[in-house]
Amino acid sequence: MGAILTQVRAALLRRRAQWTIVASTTLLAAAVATLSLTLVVRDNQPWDDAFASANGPHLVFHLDASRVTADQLAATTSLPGVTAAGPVRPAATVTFQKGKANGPIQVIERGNPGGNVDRLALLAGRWPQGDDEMAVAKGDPGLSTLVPQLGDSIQAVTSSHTTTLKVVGVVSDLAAFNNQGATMRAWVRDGELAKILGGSDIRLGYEMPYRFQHAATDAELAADRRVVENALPSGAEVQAPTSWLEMRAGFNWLVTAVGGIIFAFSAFALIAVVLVVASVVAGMVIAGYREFGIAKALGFTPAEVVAIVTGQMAVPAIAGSVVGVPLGALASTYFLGATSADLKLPVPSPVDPLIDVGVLIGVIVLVALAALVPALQAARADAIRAITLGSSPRASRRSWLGSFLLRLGAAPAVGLGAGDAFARPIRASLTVVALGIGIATLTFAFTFGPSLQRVIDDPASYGAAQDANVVRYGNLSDTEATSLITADSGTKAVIATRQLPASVTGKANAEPLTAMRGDTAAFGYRPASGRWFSAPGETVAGLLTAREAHLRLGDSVAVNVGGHELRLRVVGLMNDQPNAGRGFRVDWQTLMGILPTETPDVYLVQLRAGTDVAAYTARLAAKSSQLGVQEDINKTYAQPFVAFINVIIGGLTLVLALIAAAGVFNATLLATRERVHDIATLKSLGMTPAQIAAMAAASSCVVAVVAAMVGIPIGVWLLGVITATMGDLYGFMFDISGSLNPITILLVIAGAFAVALAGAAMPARWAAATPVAQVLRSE
Amino acid sequence: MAGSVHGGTENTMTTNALVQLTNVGRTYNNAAVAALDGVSLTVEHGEFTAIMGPSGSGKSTLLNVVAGLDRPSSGRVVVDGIELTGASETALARYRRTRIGFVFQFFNLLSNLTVIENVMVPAQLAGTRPAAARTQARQLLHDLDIASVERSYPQNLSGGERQRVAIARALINKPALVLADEPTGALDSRTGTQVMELLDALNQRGQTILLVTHDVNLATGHGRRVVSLRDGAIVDDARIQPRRKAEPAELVRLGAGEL
Repeated sequence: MGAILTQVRAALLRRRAQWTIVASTTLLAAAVATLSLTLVVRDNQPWDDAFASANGPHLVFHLDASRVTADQLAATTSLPGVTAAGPVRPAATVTFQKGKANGPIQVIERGNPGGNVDRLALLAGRWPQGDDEMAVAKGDPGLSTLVPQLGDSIQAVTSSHTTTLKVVGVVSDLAAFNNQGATMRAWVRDGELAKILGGSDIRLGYEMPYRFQHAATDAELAADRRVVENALPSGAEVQAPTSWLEMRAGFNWLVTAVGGIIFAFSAFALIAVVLVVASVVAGMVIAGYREFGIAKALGFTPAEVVAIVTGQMAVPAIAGSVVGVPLGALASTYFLGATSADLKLPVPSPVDPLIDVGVLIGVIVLVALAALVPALQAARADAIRAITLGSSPRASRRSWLGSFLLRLGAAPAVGLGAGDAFARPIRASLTVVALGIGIATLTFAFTFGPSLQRVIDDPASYGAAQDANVVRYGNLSDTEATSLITADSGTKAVIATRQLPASVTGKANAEPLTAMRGDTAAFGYRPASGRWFSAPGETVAGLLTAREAHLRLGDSVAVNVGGHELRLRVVGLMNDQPNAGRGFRVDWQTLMGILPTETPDVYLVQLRAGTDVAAYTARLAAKSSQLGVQEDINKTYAQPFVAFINVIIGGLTLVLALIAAAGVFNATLLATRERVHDIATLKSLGMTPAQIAAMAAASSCVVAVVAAMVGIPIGVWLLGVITATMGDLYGFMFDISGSLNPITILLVIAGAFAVALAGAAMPARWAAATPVAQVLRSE
Repeated sequence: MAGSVHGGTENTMTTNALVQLTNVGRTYNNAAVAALDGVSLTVEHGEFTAIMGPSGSGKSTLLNVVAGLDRPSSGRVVVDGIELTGASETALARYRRTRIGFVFQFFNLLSNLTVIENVMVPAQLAGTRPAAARTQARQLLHDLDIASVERSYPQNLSGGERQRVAIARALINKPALVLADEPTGALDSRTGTQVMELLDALNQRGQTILLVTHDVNLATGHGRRVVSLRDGAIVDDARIQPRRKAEPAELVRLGAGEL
């Protein structure tokens, strides 16, 4: 054992370049692997902790107080399967104004933040105790134009009067980003809501939270929901209940999305590291052929030779992983910490022993396995040959490419360098794949951002062609609301909508059915595939709904809306972002066919060019207290997330590029060392140092070209997989058809050359400085 | 006077001088080891000069200094009118590719190139177009009677054939000076003799040759002038009559099969 350790230590001291390559690449891979695994395993942890702490509700029912009584609701607490529920809380959606900004807030009566179910955590201030006080959920400026702050005084505007309320507390709201549209929530003390609503005709509702014995999956939640619904009068629900899974997914969607991308990249990073290490060890075995032969002659067994080789790799791999794992864990706190801050929870410890030790061992085992094959080759070293020849059999393959280029008149440095690229085919292949992986991620980085941006830049394609949203409240009629909106000089076009829950056979949850009145096609809506509806009975379905209900273009689907069956033919599929990828959009006449008394309550407004949106919303809101007007935020809210994702992808691509560059560095270093006599000969024949460097660079450029041919298709495949996965999660359909245009390909190839040349730069300089006399003398 | 050597103490400049070393010193390890010590040497156009001496005498260092592969620690080196002392690496590389041809003991052919491609390399480095370089290389291979192996790889050739290829490569740019460093060191005696006869024949056609060898018989048998080095200094410089002269016709008479 002592002899093995001596050999390992001596080799480590001598081969610092290889040591550095293995340590640095394993550091990067271990960091990314730790980060991705931590996110995948623990992305829900902050929310789950908060949910457990709050004894959060599995389902929150939203009910019409005119159709169900508090007593009837109270009776549901003892239904089978219900483990905890209530209390029944009066609630209503009221328009609030704060300066020029206005928007709807769901106001809930609640005596205190505690209780058996759905306990609330105060982030700042105190719970409202007096008249005209309210606590608000911590809002996201990106999701709403009206975000009250602690200490603000804001006006609740109804048809009968205006009430000024002071924000005395800010609360963390587990449902702040649920998939039901995330209307901001606020709480007032018991009895306050009646005062706010006064004599207005705003519909009073109830909010009722439930916990169930079995509520882990959508199917279990659907069964729980049916139990409660069966105990309620028909039509008691104003909208589908909010499930805890939706709340959680809404809160964590960004971390989930980023975690998936990081996971894919970390897998790539590990593969690249395995290839680089295999290449390093293979080169080491060739360079140390004589030493291994001597070692065997001295009495080392083949197993001991394998131990020497793998030991040389294990030490830097351990060093890299020991640094990389904590770095990755530390990076994960950035993502987990953001969620924790929203929920007023301490940032979870970045240390997860299982993950950290698992990555540490996993990376070391991978490196050892990568070293094993060349190590076995070393173990088979022919002692006599090694001692007498002093080196392993040299690669002397015909260079068809080099000959071809020289024949074409290419500069000798280019022709000879290009010809050397595959002199060691196995090593070159390992380098090509390692670099190819880097190029694949580069391709992904260059194509994913623009694909996402295209979706964002074309709001009409995902269901948000409007500039402003207007909600009609109280006793203002549809005709009056429409007149007020169209009378404003800034209004260009109006689409009136009404959204109702639609039950689909075979689906546990109701889907939103949005009936649209007006010239929707002219308004700018476009489906992602198929066409926009043009006749009653036709529908454009949300992609998630279509996927889950197995609907394709041309299919017919029966839905139940308000007790009436409606048969719809799917003519288009859309990225219905406002509805989280769900539901059916239909022409107004389609709804009128089954519910002729329904009227629109939400108006989507397109403004004339040059109209100031803020001024418009303030002007329109001033015309009637029963209009909730706000700027449409669908167009802007995604930009910070897109930028964030782009930064993450950029960082990961850099990591992969560094690993790839390390691979090229290793290959070029080995090649220049092995060909040191050829280089010295060429220098003696008159090749200048610059030409020698160019020769080494040309070799790596050929590798880059081949790697690009491998990497670009892998990158496109990765783009397809990740966009499809994100599509499944968020109901988006990415159009990636035009992502790989000639400019992108040129950029990727330029990037490939940059990575290859960066990796080859130093060995090329060393090669250029080869001391000819010394080398040729030592022949 | 074909050349003048004055033991490193005096340098006589002649109009026909091709190589002029003036008081050249080369030390290693912070001057602890002197490979060359005040060497002055002039070689004129057309000479066949053999540098001779035991191992460690400095003969290879002298050759490397003349080739611009090594830089003198002191003194001045001028070859074919080009001042090598203080020249940049790039300038030295250009000098090597245009003014000298190098024949090595171990041939130093590029194993991944064919014979003709090996010969073409210096021409292409000098900017000759591929077609013209190929024509020149082919002519040289024909002259050296190894045209039949132009598509072969070095490792498939005999030692003699390899050295002929190396000689062809050294000649392709029509250098003013051919430097031969123990050109027979890796060959059996018969083949070595044949290679030396080839160099003789080249010299007969006017090619200046500077040969480094430790073999007295080789130096005196082929060199017209023998410069002896010991401990980095010239200890003797003698012009001699060669024992045998190769006729120009022998260039082609020495077939590849004989080597």
